[in-house]
Amino acid sequence: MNSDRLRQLIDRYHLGIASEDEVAELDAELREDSHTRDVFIAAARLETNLYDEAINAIPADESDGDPVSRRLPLRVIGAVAAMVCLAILVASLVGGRGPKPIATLASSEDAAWESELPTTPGAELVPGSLRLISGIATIRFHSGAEVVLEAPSQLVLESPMRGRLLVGAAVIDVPDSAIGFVMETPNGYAVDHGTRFSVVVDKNQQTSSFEVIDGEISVHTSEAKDEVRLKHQQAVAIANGAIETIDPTDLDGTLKPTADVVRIGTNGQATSATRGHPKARRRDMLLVKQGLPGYRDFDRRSVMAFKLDGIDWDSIRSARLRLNLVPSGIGFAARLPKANRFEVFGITNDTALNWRVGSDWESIPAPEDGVLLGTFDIPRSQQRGVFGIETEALLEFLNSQGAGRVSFLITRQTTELQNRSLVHAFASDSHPEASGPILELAIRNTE
Amino acid sequence: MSSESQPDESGLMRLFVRHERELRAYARTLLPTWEAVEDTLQEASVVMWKKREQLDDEAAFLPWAKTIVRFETLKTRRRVARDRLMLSEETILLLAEQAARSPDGVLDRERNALRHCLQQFSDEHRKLLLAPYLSDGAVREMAERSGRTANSLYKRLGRLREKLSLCVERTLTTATDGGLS
Repeated sequence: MNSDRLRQLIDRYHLGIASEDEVAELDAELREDSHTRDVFIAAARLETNLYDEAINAIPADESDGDPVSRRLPLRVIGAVAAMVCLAILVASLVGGRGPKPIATLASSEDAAWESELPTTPGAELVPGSLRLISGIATIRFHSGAEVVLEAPSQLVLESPMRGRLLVGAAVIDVPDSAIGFVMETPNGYAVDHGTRFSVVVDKNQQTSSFEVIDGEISVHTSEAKDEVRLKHQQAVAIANGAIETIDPTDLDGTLKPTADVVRIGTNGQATSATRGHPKARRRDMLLVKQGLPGYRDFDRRSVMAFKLDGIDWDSIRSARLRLNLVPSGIGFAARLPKANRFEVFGITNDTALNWRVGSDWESIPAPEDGVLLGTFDIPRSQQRGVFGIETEALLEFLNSQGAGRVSFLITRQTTELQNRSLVHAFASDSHPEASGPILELAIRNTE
Repeated sequence: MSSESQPDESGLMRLFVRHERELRAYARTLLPTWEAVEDTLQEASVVMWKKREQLDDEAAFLPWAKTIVRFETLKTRRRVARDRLMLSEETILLLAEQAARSPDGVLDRERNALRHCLQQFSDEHRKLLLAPYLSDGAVREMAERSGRTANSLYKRLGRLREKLSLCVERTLTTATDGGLS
């Protein structure tokens, strides 16, 4: 075959316009001749470079909802994030064929996971490890035992009747059907005799504490040399291979994970707007970006509201705004500075409070409409995780607002190094995986 | 089961990111469309993640990853075996073996040359050269907009691509001779 014909065939093949006969002709030629293969391999490299150039030439923001985006590959970090998600998914699928599920993920509140098991509420869990990075999750073992896990913690699911808490705090509720349920810790285990009890594993101190809230359990050291039975409101700690009785009031508040925090969601009341492009918006994400001068048309801000009703402000010790960072798939992280600073404003200008989901840039609040409550930083290498602020200014702002609807504006203070930088995204309530913004109010301990 | 016994996960991500382009070029050698390339790379990345314990030396990443991409390509091929526009399994294996021996850094050198060469085309020509990578119907749409037939625009594109490919070759030769750099 002459080189012109070969070039033409390869070209048509790469452009997707070769006929079946042409592909067959090319195939035969490639099979026969190693020089042809060299030419073909070099052409594939040129293809790859052209593909990269084409993608780099598109203003990344234009890929918002544009058909073009379907053709774009998941770029660098996105691909890796996808890799992790898919790996988790695959692990769960593989799990479906192999070991049988032993528990169900009953619910999760603001939970962020690092886990080889699926982490969507309702998911069936096979034996394996769950690492809860933030939030609270309830795991219902198929025996009926229910474990409420508080982050940061790691729980290994071993069987319907056995779990192992490697680190962190958990409250375990055991109905009659699951009497005999065992919760192990690194240095001991508790056998349940029909009760509600809590476990805290402190890795630094190398201790495990058990407290019976109601009912009866027996606690054993791992060498099973030592055993005690605990009843209502008794507590013990295992340290250095021995069991010590402790006064439950000495244990810190982590034992009652749900009792002392009020969590308020936005209930869908969150939106983002783009300066020059009213339609560039995503329902599932709250987008935030600040472009270089000259590229400000795609600046984005997000605003969210929480309804505060029936809060006794005197009892609130601290307040925290939590946002779940998720990959936006728009723009390049490499074009950002290493650290990116975000500002949270509490909106005080009454006329700016009338924004609605879907409002455009001019109709959502601006920084001038509020007070700065705090900042947080996100490294450019990170596209997932929990961020937000927990400041005195936030608490004061909430206190001053009292009741009703309060609004927050999120902006990116730092600018990009090059245009078409990564757009940061926080999950909205419609996000398929991560939970939307949460306002957490910690109630002062009244003991 | 404990994730504590697993190797450095961020290390694997870093390696994947660093070699993503090279793996993409490798997959492109074996697969007929960019969609197939992206799908296969994604499947391969999942396999890499699952088998990450196998990898004990960073230097061994690329050959290891290429092997996984090759396997996934064959799986893709079997899945779409009815697609006559795919090369035969025998050819894919020959290409896979030969492409795995490509020297390091060629891809990046060629990219620099390509950028240099693209600058020598007019805006309109550059747009046409990059159009096939933006969406499936992009070239056809351009043809419709300019009142030409798709066939004639593809011919024009073919000529431009030949010119571009020659420019890249020439640029690299000059650079190797010490004429550029």
